[in-house]
Amino acid sequence: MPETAIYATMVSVRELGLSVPEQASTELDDIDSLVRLYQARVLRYVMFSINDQDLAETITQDCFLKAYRGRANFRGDCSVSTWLISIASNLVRDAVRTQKFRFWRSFRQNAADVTELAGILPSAGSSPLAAMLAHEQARHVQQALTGLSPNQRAVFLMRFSEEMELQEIAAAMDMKVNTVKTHLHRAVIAIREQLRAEKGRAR
Amino acid sequence: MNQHLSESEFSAYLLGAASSATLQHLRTCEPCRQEMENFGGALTAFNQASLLYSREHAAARPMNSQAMAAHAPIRTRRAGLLADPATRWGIGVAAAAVLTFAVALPVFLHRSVPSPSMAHNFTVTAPSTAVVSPVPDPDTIQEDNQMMAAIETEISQPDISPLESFTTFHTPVTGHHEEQQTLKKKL
Repeated sequence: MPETAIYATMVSVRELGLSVPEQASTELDDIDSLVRLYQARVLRYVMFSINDQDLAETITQDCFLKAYRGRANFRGDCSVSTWLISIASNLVRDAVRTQKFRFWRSFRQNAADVTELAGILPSAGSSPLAAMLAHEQARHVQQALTGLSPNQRAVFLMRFSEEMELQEIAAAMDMKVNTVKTHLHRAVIAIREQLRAEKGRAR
Repeated sequence: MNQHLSESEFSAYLLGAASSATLQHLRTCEPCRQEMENFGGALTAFNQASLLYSREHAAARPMNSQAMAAHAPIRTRRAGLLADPATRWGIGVAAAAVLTFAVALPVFLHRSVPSPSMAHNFTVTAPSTAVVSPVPDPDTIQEDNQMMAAIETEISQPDISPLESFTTFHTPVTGHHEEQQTLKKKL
């Protein structure tokens, strides 16, 4: 499915009749720069969408390969970052669908190490207490994300990590905007509940 | 607004669809503002940590972008007639029609009404269910023996001379008969 979804996105871009900005065209032609600029963001989205580091690396590489192959079809109606995340989203959806059982079995085995995640935050310029609080908050959000459904997790990451617009998320996920809002609403409630629960345990 | 923000109002604010009443409430209600800041702080902390984590992970296992580029031929937009989706659709329908005709024609010709003789030739008969016993019955043996005896009798007779037929020729003329006997003796 990723192929068709990618080209579906490209067709919609083409139908808008927009031209490719010169800067984006040059940016897409240089695969080194493309990878250097966006690899971390794409990898983050994929990694915390599927919680499997090995699979995330494969999907991220596949994402850049597909983007580079289809760069001539990018018309620039969105940012390169949003375009890449859309491609990655389709690949994640395809991977979850085709490797469903393996995915759930390895869901926690290859997950990002939350302890490492929390300990990686820069603490310069903040008090040790604030840094520790930030570490705990990051860890709690990461834990709360694992309790969401794949769709809720995807739209939450797109909105609050990648800062995509609701229409962009709807296009990337092949959903209606209202469906995206519903997923986001449920995801926010679940994350807030998790944070409150963790806060209550800390006290 | 006396009550604190509901979950719906909270998520509406986060999605950028807060009402003016919600915004007014956040200006005046310290607990709600604190709740919002805590949630925003948690998201910021997660985003910073997860991005740093991904950067370190990517740096530890860099992708070979040059190898990817070498094996990734650019997929360009279709040019010419194929650029138009309607044209592509029409070509596809025409190709499907030609293919269908090419397949259907031989099938139709093959299934045309057969001639009476062909119908006769293709008459299906039920397979014989008679079972031939490997041991012949006495009547069959007797018939076979009779037939063999008749054959034996037939072949045991002496060869007939090709001129034998002349000897059997009878004529009422006595003189001719005597000449015939004389000729026979010479032969």
